[in-house]
Amino acid sequence: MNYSRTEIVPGSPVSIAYTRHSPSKLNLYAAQPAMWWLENIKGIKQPVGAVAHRGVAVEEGVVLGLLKPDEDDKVCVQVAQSRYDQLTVLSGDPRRDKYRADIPDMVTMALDELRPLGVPSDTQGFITWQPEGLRLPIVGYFDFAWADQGLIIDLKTTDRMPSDIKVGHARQVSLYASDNMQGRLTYTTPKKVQTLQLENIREHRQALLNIAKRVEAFMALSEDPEFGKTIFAPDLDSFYWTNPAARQIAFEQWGI
Amino acid sequence: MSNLFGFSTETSAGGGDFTPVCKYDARSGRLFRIDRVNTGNGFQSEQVDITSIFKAVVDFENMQVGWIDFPVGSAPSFVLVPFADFMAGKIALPAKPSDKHKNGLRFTLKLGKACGGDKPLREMAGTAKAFLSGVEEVCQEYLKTKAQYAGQLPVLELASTLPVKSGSGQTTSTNYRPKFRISGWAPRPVDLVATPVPLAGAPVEPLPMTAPATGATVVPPNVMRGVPAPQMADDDFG
Repeated sequence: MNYSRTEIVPGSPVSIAYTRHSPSKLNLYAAQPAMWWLENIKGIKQPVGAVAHRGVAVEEGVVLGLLKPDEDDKVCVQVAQSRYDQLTVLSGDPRRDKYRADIPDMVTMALDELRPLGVPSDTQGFITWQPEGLRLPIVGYFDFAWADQGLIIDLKTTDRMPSDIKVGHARQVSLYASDNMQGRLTYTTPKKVQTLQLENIREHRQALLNIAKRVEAFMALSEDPEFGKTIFAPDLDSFYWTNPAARQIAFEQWGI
Repeated sequence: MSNLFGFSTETSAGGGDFTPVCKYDARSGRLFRIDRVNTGNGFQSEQVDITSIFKAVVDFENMQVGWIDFPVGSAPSFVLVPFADFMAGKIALPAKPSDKHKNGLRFTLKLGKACGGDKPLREMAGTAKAFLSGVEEVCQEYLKTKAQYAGQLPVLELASTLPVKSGSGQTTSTNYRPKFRISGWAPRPVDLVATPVPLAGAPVEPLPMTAPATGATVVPPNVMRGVPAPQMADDDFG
């Protein structure tokens, strides 16, 4: 039976309705379908680690610095750190202080890298794409666009500088860039910043579509929200299950 | 008209759906815009010499390469593949469709206001070696520098033509190789839209697809800082 899961059945254990795809969900389905099922169908979201909050906070500081080119870097750093503190106030992540200490260098290096491009025309812009063959749209938010230069840039904070763009990031930015814009990824570590040019945009966007079709094919197999648990099994060596709480959930759900 | 048949029975204004063309005559070293002119007794082609005033935004991004036959008195035959895909190794040149076909290329361009006439959007194609080598030279420069002008297309002018002798003795002939120069860069005009053209002639077996790379090219600081664009007349291509 065809079931697109766009409605929540009263009394159903599904606490959220899957109404749209996103690059992060599709990348998760490809990488770790058991986690995808747990979060998107069962409705049990994993706690966000401090490292993800670092990324959000750094981006907030960089947005300020790009929209106000004359703003002092210190102010941008303060904004980023305040945001980080707000996001991690209840975090028990032991690396919380370490990630906070990365913020000043990441913000200033990212601003040095991106400010020469000028004030972006858009930040946090919403993109939606529903090609033929998909029941649900693929949506996302890009970080920065310079429409006059035909440029979309996504900012990534990381501990180690990659030598090439990660496949998941390539798929994500290909959605934003589409056929009209150049796509780039600016990676910043605590020590270095580097911008890489995205290649093969159409192919990576096609990959998103190919994954989304598989998600919809899976969802069409059964209305039972527990169905995924009978099909997938978690790879406990994967970093997705490193968090002790996630490890415990894996045991509770799958008995492994 | 009533569209009784589901399609229009109106006659077209001497051009139909075909993109008007520019032509480079390698024998004379002249560059022409070919206009369709209504003489009152029908339409005929008129060659307008734009050699000394040629200036155009050229869509090298979507240039096509392969085989072309220009038979006298009938429509040309194109068997082409996208140059970008060929350069990326995704597709091979098609097999030669017939003895009459020669290596050739095709691209679209938008002529500047001074030389564009009523219809500045044009197609240009050729098989003459002199023409091809001239385009090859400027295309190599384009490929080397395009990363500095993300999202833009090159503006070409015809700087000069160079005589090229071929043959020997009584069969010596002189053709003229165009010397194009990139005089600037411009955003893609909104009406210079890339339209994929289906391959005609013999089917082509594409090279096996390999997994697409994501990108390892570091954007250099001078590009991030924005290389200053050359001064261009704002209304050249409006």
